[in-house]
Formats: sequence, structure tokens, C-alpha cells
Amino acid sequence: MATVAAHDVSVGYQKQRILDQLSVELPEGQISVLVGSNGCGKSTLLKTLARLLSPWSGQVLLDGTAIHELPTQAVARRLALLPQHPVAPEGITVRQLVSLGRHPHQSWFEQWREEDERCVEEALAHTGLSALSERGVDTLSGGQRQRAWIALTVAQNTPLLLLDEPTSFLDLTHQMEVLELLQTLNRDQGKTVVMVLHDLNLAARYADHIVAIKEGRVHAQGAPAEIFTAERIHEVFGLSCRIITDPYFNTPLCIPFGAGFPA
Amino acid sequence: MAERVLRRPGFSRRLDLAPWRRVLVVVLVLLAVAAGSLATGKVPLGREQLLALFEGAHTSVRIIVLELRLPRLVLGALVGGLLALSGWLFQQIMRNALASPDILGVTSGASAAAVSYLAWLAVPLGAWGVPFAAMIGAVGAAGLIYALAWSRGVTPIRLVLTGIGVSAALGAVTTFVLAFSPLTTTLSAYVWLTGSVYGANWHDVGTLTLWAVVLILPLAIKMRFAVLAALDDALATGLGVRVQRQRAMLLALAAAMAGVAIAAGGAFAFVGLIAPHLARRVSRAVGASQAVLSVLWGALLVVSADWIARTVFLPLDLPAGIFVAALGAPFFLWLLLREAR
Repeated sequence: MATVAAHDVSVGYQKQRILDQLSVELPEGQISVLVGSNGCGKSTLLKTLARLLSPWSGQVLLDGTAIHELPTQAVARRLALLPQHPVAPEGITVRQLVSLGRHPHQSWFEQWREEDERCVEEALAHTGLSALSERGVDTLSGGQRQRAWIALTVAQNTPLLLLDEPTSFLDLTHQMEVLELLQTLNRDQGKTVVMVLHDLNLAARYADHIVAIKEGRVHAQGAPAEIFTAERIHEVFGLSCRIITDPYFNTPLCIPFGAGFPA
Repeated sequence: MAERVLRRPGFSRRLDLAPWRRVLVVVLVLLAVAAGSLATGKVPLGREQLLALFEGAHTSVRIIVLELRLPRLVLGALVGGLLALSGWLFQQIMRNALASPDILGVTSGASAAAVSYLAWLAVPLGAWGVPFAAMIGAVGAAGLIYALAWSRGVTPIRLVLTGIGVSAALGAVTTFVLAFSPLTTTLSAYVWLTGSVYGANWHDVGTLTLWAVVLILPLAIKMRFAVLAALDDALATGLGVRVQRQRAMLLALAAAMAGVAIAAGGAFAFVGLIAPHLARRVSRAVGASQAVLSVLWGALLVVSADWIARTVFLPLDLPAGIFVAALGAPFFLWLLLREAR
């Protein structure tokens, strides 16, 4: 079992409140995508779910227990996190980077059990990086580098995976590559994936569950087909659009209108 | 790949052998410099005379090598190694290649305290208190920087900026005290501020060795965190590291290492900054082996500098600190130029 949920969570920076008594439960074994306009609090929600931010009130529940009461290492064995734009130490190789993912399973005495080795090799294989494992991370392309970071979280071997905009700054090919990898991890290993995405059409294609955030609250949640309607998108993003059905994937496809076009 | 895996019940490690060959190279260079340094000086010694020491040689050679040159050499190596390790830790924690005890105000704290002691307390109390003043100054400055940088936890960039500010302020204190001191104090303070291992004895070596053991042991246990500290906070937290707690502990260790080294050898500048870079750029080390190589490079820098300082300008015996920068800076610049090509 691996569920993460926010219960009446309020949180913010300095005095500014970002999340306002927000409650949400992310479905187990599915890919959930948090969407919303800039500054709506979706990244803040992800950070709060990953215990990077402590809520002012309310709590985050990991498998039903308040996350802030759990030892951080125990949390790290159940929940892996990929922040936005992580920076790799200078000169580190892919294998060394991925090995860092084993940290929560290691102690001072036990730092390279057979299980550690197996998890790292599997993570490299799943992400298609086995052949690149001795390369320096700084010599990789953007997409490969992002796969290496995801491999690190895979090596962490957690049922839950949280990612903050894993596709930002990648070109479309590499965005697809990353999302397909996450989908495979979800389908093959049953990982619960929660991520923030900006591209609504990709979100619609890869998500099982969409959580639309507006002004620090959950505005709507459900399957992409239920959430992505022209009215909802206008409510959440203030954007006029038409929704059609993607002729190949049967998922909702958003055609945005600029100010010059009538909705 | 040169890798060996060690697995016993309840204990497992992966040993990457590649960096240890580079460690060996630097150790050999260090030993060669040490041998050269022991053989030269006001009384040059031949190979036979040095080797004869092992069979209980002539007493004056014995005193020159074992009581004068060797303790000075070992103290230099310890001072250089500790400053380098401190610099490496600061660079890891701050994730900033410019971090080092001298830039972040730890050295300035030690200097301000030591110079104040020399100016006001050395006459009534005696010069023995200088190392203690230096240590208190170093740790005090680090504490002050940490407190000033605090804002619901400390971030690396706030620490760096606060450190530079505190460093400038404490530098002003040192200059102020020196300006109002008699010339004799200024001269001894100046040697101290440059850094020197002149007149080192086995007692000094013993004291600093003890400190080194006390400070390096916890680092050896916490090495995994020192390596993870180079990642960003969110990622480290995601991997189950209590970032603020580990950071505070590693900072305290780094400051104390610089403090004891400066207390023993004076305010050597540049070693803490440059030795980790040499470990990264020349020895291409990553992770824990970077720490070991930084220590070796730091030791090599100070030992070589002291060798030059005490032999090239005979009969003068100059403070080694002069030559750390004179030797290290051109080498470092050459290295950067070569990389740029």
C-alpha cells in the first residue's frame, strides 16, 4: 500500500498563504497530474506532499500516518522525489548518481548489499541507461540527464514517486521520452506517480487522474475526460479553448484561443 | 572498471579502486618532497647520513632531522591537510567552488582574535595563549555567521554572503588592532597572519594530531552526508537526509578543523581554497576520495612551501605562508589555462 493525501493543509511562504485548507487524496497505483495556472499552488502542494514544506495547519498523510511524525529516512523508503532542475555534482558518473538513490536503504555498515547493486542495475536498465552508466552526467543530453535523475528515484525503490515538472526545458521528443518512461514504471512496477505538468495535452494523454488547482484549493479532480472541458479550463486557467477528441489516442485535446478569437 | 565489492554479514562496501591509484601518486610525490626537505637546509645532508639514522646515527644529524626538520614537516602536513579538508567541506556544504575558511570569515575570526591577543594579552599572560585565541576566534566567527544567516534554516547562498560580510568586518578589526599596536607586536602578528611552521616541536605535532583524530573521526562516519550535501536540499531531503541538522554538524566540523590548523600554524591563506580544486582537477576525484586527495594536496602545498621558505633564501627562514600562494597560484592558473584550451 502506498497512498499520499493532504488533509486540510494550509501552507505558504513568509506571510503569504499559498494553499488554503486543501484536501486531496492521490489514487494508489495511478498517474496523477497536478495542473493549474502559474502561482496556483500546485508545486507548493507537491513540495508539501514530499515533506519539503511543513504545513501551517492540517497534515499530509503517508499511508494514513502524519508524514512529519515519521522518521525522514522511513519516508524516503516509501516516497521518492524529483525536484525541478536538480544539479549533479561535478564529474559524477551516471552509475554513481543512480547509486545515491540507495541512501535511504543504507546504514554506515551496510552500503552495498546485493540488493543495492541489483536495484541500481535494474534502475539503469529500466531507464535505458545501462550503456551510458560510466559516462559523466554533465556529458549527457537534456533528455538522458533527466532519465538519469529518474533512474536515481527508481533505484530508491519506493512505491510512490513525486516529480515537479519533470519535462520542463525538454524538447517535445524528450518530454515524450520521460513521460513514456514514467508510464512504463507505473504499468510495470505499479508505482504511484504524482507530478506537476504544464502541457495539458500531454497531461491528458498520460494521466489517469487530474487534479486541477485554483487559488490554493482543489477546483476539480477526476479522469482527464471529465476534467478537461472548455468551461473548466476557462475556470482554472482563464483561457478560452475548444476541446476536441484526439483522433489517435481518444484523449481530450485542448485547442487554445487567443484574445483575437471568439470562444 | 576497477571496482571491488566487499560483503560480509552485516557489512558491505563498494570500493572504487581507480581514485586510490591517484591517491598513491600524490602520496609518492609528498614522500619525495618530504625526503628532499629533510635532506636540505642550513646543514645539507647526504643520503647516507639520512639512511644512517635508522641505525642510530651521529647525534647532531639526529637532532637536525628528528627534532628540527621532521616535526616541522609533519606539522606543516597536518596544518595543510586540515585546512584543505575544511575547505573541501565548506565547498561541499555551500555548493560553491569559491568557499573556503579564508573567504568565509573563519580565518578572519581566528586572525582578529589572535592579533587582539598578541596586542593586549601576550605581555601579561605570555604567547602560549595565541592558539587558543585563534581557535576561539575561528569557531566564534563560524557561529556568528551561522546565526546571522539563519532564517528558518540556513541556505548555502546566505551562508556564503554572510561569511564574506563577516570576513570583511573582522579583517577591519585586525587592521585596526595592528594600527594601534607597537611595532614588535605588529611584526610577530604579521608572521602569524602569513602562516608559519617555524620552530615546530613534537609537542605541537602531538596536540594537532589529537585534534585531527577527534575531528576527522566524526567526518569519516558522516562522509555519506558530506557527499550528498553537494546535491540540492530538496533532493537530499527526498533521500532521507535531515539536511539542516547535517549541515550544521558538518559546518561545525569544518570550522573547527580550520580553527585548530590555524591555531597551530597561523592564518595560512589559499590552501583551503585551492587544495580541493587540485583534487578535482588534477586528480579528477569524485565523492569521498575527493576528501582524501584534498588532504594530500593541502599537505603537499604547505610542505613544499615550507621547504622553499626555509632553504631558498638561506640564511633567512621565511614564513611558509608566503610560498603557498606563490607556488599554488601560478600552478592553479596554469591548470585553468590548460583546461580552457
